[in-house]
Amino acid sequence: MFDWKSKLKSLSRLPFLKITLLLLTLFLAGGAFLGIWYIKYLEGVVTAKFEGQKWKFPSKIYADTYLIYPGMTLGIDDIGTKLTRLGYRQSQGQPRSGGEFRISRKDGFVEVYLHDFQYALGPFKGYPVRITIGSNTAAKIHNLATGAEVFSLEIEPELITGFYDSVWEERRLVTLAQVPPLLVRAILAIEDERFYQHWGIDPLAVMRAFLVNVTRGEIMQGGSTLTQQLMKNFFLDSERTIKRKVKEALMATVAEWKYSKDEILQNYLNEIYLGQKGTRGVFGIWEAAQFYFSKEPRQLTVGEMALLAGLIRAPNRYSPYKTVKGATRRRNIVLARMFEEGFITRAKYERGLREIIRSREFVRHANDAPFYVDYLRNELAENYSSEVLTAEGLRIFTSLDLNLQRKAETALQEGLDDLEKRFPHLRKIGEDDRLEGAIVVIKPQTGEIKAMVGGRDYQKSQFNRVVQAKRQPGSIFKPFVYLAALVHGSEDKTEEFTPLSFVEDSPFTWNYEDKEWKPENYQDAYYGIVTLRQALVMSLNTATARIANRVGIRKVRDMAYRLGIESKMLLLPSLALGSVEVTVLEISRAFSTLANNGVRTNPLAVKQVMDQQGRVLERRNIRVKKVITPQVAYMMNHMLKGVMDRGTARGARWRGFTRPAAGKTGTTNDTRDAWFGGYTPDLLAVVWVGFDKESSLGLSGGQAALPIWTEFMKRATAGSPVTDFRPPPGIELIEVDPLSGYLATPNCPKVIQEAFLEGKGPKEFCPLHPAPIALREAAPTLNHSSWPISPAAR
Amino acid sequence: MGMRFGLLLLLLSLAGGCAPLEQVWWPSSRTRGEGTVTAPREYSSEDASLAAKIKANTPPRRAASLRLTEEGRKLLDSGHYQKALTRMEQALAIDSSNQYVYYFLGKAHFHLTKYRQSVEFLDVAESLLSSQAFWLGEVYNLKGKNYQELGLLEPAHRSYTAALRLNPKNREAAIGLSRVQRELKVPTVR
Repeated sequence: MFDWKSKLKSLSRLPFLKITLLLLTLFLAGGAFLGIWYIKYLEGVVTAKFEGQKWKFPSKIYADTYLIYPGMTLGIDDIGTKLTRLGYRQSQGQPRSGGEFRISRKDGFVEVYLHDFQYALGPFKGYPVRITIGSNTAAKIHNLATGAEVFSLEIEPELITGFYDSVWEERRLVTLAQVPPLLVRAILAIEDERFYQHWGIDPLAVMRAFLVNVTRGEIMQGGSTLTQQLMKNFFLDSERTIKRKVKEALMATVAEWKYSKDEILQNYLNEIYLGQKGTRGVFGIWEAAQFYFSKEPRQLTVGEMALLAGLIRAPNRYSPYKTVKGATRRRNIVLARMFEEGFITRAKYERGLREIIRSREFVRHANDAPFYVDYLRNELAENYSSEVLTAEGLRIFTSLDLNLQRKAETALQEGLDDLEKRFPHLRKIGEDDRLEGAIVVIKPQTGEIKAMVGGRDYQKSQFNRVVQAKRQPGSIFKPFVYLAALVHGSEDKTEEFTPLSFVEDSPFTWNYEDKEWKPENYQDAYYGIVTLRQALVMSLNTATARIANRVGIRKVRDMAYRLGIESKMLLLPSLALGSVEVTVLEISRAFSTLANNGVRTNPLAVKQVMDQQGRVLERRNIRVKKVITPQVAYMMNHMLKGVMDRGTARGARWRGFTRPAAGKTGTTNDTRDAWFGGYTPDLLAVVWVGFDKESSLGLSGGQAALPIWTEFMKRATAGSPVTDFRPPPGIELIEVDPLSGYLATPNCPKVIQEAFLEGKGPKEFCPLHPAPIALREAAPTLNHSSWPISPAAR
Repeated sequence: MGMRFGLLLLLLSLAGGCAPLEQVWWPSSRTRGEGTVTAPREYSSEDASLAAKIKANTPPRRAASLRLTEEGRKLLDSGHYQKALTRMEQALAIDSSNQYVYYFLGKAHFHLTKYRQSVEFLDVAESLLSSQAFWLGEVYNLKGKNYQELGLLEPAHRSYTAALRLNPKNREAAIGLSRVQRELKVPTVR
């Protein structure tokens, strides 16, 4: 009997099965096609990464090096702080390896084993030194290895900050050959013991992890190989999804197929994240060895290697900066694994266990000089694009002195706070116009910018008032007028000027181009006939304008240009009183020419730029130009010392700054700007105070800017030897009566020492206070400076 | 065999499933390009060693600066001009009243063929060493050499002459002067 039912059933099934099989085959073939394509795509991605630029290297910016020499002022704590900031660690006994130091207060010495450092002119090989310190002075320095005396010791520069894209990855590349094999074994022991056996993924490790996770009921372990970890770090996020894991496994397989185990391992050792120092991530073995132990990988002990290997799992949990106990426990696990695997002998294992992990204090590196760094970025922008600066790992050496930078910042912030407290009208509550200030510090002899603070709070305003704000200088411009007078004399060549030449201080009108200009004195006070010195010391406007009138405003302008002002200056009479817009840096440069005996320097911030391979890309040297004679510069400095001692800046003396110094205050119309520029022979600082929207301060330069300058200079020069401006050959220092301008006699109530060009000083005695007849008759045979002037009269 | 093929197909299709659609149909333009990524000179007794100028009462800064200048001078003699320049700059930063350092900075710049900058340093050295005939003579001699390199024969002539006036035994200046004189006498072609 025909089983029509089963026949029908089989007939109906067959095409269905066929169709199903066909569809399944098509689906699988499509999937396979996609799979092949995707694997090819992944291969392209992996190859591009392995063979292209794998990492971005931020450029690092360094402060200036620190030179120690016998006889210099140096406290034990100063050097200790400096070394700690540089990442040196204290040792119990004599330092045995690079990066260690010890302090002996009892015996008055600091011993340091200096780091190796790659300077622009070649590598420096660290060696141990002892700096003997007595009475806050470096008494002696000697090399502990050879016993030889050292006459100057250069300590490597401090890192200020870096130029980076979004994340600062601190990393220094190593080749596999540079990594101790034991460190590699330690890492393999704890992270991937079958690294040399598997082909990117390790099914055994996956199964083990699976079992652990199932048993515990949560994801406790990953079975990732080093290759998988590398792929994850290179390309993927840390999301725990099946899709991500499959992708990771595929990429790992592709990488193993394309590249050797050693290539993968080397990339892993450079890529791996090993901790965090502030804003900077610590990546790679070299950087981690530096961060945790201040050592290079080759210098690590077995215990330290085990600790580094142990950190990979959770760097911030096991960090010795956070927990010595946790770090020790983790290290011991790694040591045990290394011993079990036969990588180390029992003796080494036990030695490793005995190593004591010392608690370390993390020195947070904030960007202490954000305005300075912005200035550098602008300076470098001409030659280096932003991409180059953030990715190519340049090393930029600067002239910044972090110590002075911190002092400048503190002085400015405290000074402005204090002004707001003493003068409440300066605190503009609710208005977007806060009292602001700026300070720049320069070493006059070299032009090096040692510190720069462009505003009160970088977080609130990044506007750098040292270089971006153009403000009127007011009276701080006056020295250029007096200098032009001393150098050129009057325009009609009938008159030569000395500091004691007379000028009238009374209202006057300057006619020019059918126009009139009528300068006025501060508070309308006029003093009649005064000397040039008095006019400058008291900052008299009309007297200064009369001098400019006699010298010629063009000569005044040329003098300002010659000293270093670069802004455009119109030939207007009011220029004599500073009616021009200049930057704080320009004023600093011009004043530093005076401080440097008439030699102009170029402001120097970037000193050298090196690439990652240590090649010097750029070197900026000190540049000088003699623009006025040292004699005239000395006369000017001598007059400007009078401003500090007796004039508008005498407040600095009341505030306790007693060193020989020269300077000038500046206040503009409606007291919108308050300035003070002053210097010792070794250090110059210019301070500006005002409002960005040019509101009136109601204060003079002496009231607003001078206190900030004084506090800064007191701190900056504390402990350093006192120096004075030295008269160059061709200068005569003569004691004169400041009132008459003639040679002083014993009867002169007030006597000052004045500087003159040789042969240009007064030849006659003070007619206002004649000397006793006997002395006057003897006078031609006497040296004018040998008058028996009573101390009281001085 | 068929089973293996099936398994392979299954694996490959699984891999294909991981591929984001946009990467499947539009082969990535983003990733395609990614990753393709002089002989040492002899010194007279006057300038034998700057370190010899350091006395017991020499201020420490001055002493350190003189020592660095001496180091720089040795580097100059051994032809390490850039290193010498760096040493001299350190010496200047420590003590700017060290008048010798300006001369040696001029010398370092001369060797680095930065003749104009060399002259600038020598201008400063000239004022600072005006009372030391030997050194002033050296300054003039080096100025002469710089001017000669710059093709400024008149100033070179003046500088060599001044150097010889201060130190008639200065052979370099004498040779320089005779060369400059020879060149100055060459009639110009119009």
